Amino acid sequence: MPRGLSRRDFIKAGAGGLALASLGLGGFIASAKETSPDKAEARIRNRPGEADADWAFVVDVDKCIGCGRCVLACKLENRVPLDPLLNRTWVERYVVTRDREVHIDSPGAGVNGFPRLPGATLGEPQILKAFFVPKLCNQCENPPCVSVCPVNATYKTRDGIILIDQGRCIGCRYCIIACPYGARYFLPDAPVTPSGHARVVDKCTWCYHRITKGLNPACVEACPVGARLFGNLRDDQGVVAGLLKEKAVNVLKPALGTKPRVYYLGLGHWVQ
Amino acid sequence: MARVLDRSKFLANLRATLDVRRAWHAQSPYARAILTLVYLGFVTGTYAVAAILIWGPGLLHATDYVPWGIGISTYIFFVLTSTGLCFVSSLGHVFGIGGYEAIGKRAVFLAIITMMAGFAALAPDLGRPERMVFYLLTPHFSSLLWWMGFLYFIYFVFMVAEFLSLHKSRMDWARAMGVGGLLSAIGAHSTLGGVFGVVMARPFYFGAFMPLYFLLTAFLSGIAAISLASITTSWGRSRQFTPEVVDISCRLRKLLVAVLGITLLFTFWKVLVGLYAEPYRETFGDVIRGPLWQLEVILGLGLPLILALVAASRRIRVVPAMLAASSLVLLGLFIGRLDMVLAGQALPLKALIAPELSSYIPSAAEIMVVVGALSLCGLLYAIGGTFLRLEAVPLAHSSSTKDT
Repeated sequence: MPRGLSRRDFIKAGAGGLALASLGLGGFIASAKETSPDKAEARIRNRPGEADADWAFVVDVDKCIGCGRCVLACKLENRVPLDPLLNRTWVERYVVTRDREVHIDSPGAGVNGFPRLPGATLGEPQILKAFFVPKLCNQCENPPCVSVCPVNATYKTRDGIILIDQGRCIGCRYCIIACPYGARYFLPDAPVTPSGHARVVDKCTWCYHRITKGLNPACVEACPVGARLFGNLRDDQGVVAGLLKEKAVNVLKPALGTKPRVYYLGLGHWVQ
Repeated sequence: MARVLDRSKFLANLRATLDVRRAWHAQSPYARAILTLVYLGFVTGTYAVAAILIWGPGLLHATDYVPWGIGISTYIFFVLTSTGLCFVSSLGHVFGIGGYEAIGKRAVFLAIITMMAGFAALAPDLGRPERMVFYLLTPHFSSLLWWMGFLYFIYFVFMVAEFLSLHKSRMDWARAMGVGGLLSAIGAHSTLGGVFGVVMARPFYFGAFMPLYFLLTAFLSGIAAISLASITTSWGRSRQFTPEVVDISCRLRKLLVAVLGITLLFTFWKVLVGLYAEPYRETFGDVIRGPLWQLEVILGLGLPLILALVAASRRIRVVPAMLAASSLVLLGLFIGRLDMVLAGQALPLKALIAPELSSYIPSAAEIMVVVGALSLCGLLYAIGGTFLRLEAVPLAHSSSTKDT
């Protein structure tokens, strides 16, 4: 009899221990998050400030020359691996031929600019229109990527930026499936990563660590022609607020109802 | 004191039951050869899973254009087979339809092991499987992926409880657990369909079709899996088709014809609507021109339907026809799950950074994981078949004890 009792006690103690251990594990993981290099982003969740901001990003398609400086600046600023397949922002080239066919490419995300088109298939006389479209996370008002995350690793800040807690991401990639803009990518094992975590999902934050200090995102700073503009819509005198007031702007895939906050000037109907 | 005695007796019993050496020698040379292959497959898969966990997801061919590959589709294949087996098992001891009790216990056992194989195939596809603790610590209730995991857990508990009840011939419990298992299976597996159905970004997935289609084809794979297991086991045991197997094959044939017919109807409308709507025509056109889709429909749906229909005309050939049909259905559905997962991702959402990213071909490690998951299923089935009396018909036993 005492044997049975002691076994029951043992199981009880084990269950208690397991509960304590899981709490401890949670605490350990939570504390590990604090030591990650990008502390600013990791602590944002409980940050009360910045709710008075209404960030907006404007891309002027007519100005972009496809030099790829923005892509490089982003990689250097955010410690995105230099692998051409891994990017938080990228530039797409659209070539519309006279038969209304649209050819889209983005060799190496456009980081080294764009090589000449293969002349045999696309001679200049056949080209109706050609232009560059820089892309980045749209920081949607209704982000499909946030609602699908099973562990709450990706979330929207009070000032409307979608961030990822990379210490919590399980790497299921469901958010990559759900994002209609292809803005998310999977970070493999790499010597350098934005937050020090690997095998998790990463994406553009509009350089949240910079904009919350009153700076521009790195890509905006790097653009030599002013094709990328950034600002706070609460600031009535700001350039971005003025542009949105005066010019006709478009967003990508408006029919999906995601309400993107990257606004494009001169965006033709060719662009998807 | 009595408790201690009981325990030693229990351990002795257990040792006698799990006498692996005797079980191994009792097998025919063919069975031993198959078991050896299955074991090697299991080792291969275990190695691949370990390699992916250690050396990273670089061993997978998933890209940001095709983030979900054969690992996800294999997972879907197995867990939907599990649902189907749960449906089939409940025909007898939940709905009380005569003639299906004989496969109840085997189907429940297969449902449990296919579920385990499914999760074994999924684990290496996660970047950080060790962080699954966040499923409990920081659940996100608006995520269908979270609900799927939660419902699977409940489903798994019900199925294990149902199996134990059947094993102990506790039919009242088995029925209760069976009802719970059935409801949680419908919940979990339609939620898996919903995981795809809510993705607006990808027209092939989006809509209410997926959850219903998943349940329907789950039933199909369950019928096929139980037919294949019953027929091959019977043949392996006695080198002939016993009257019981002929009887159950005849019953399952009718079910198979009905479900295959409905699945073909579903497939027809899915494709027709897709081709009709201009924005989706290109995607759907590419899908139906692809070899995977054609294999799925011709090999996995059309041919088995013909086989099952022809078998009706000459009763004696029902068993071999069902063996072929169910093998083809399972093969077709395995291909079909991969095709379904890939079809939704066929249209890139952004410009290609490198041309080779547009297509997906499974890597060696991914294929090894698939082989491992299949072998795990085989291995567990061999263990269960040897030690757990899967052919037992608890209902008959239970009712006879009730009568006396």
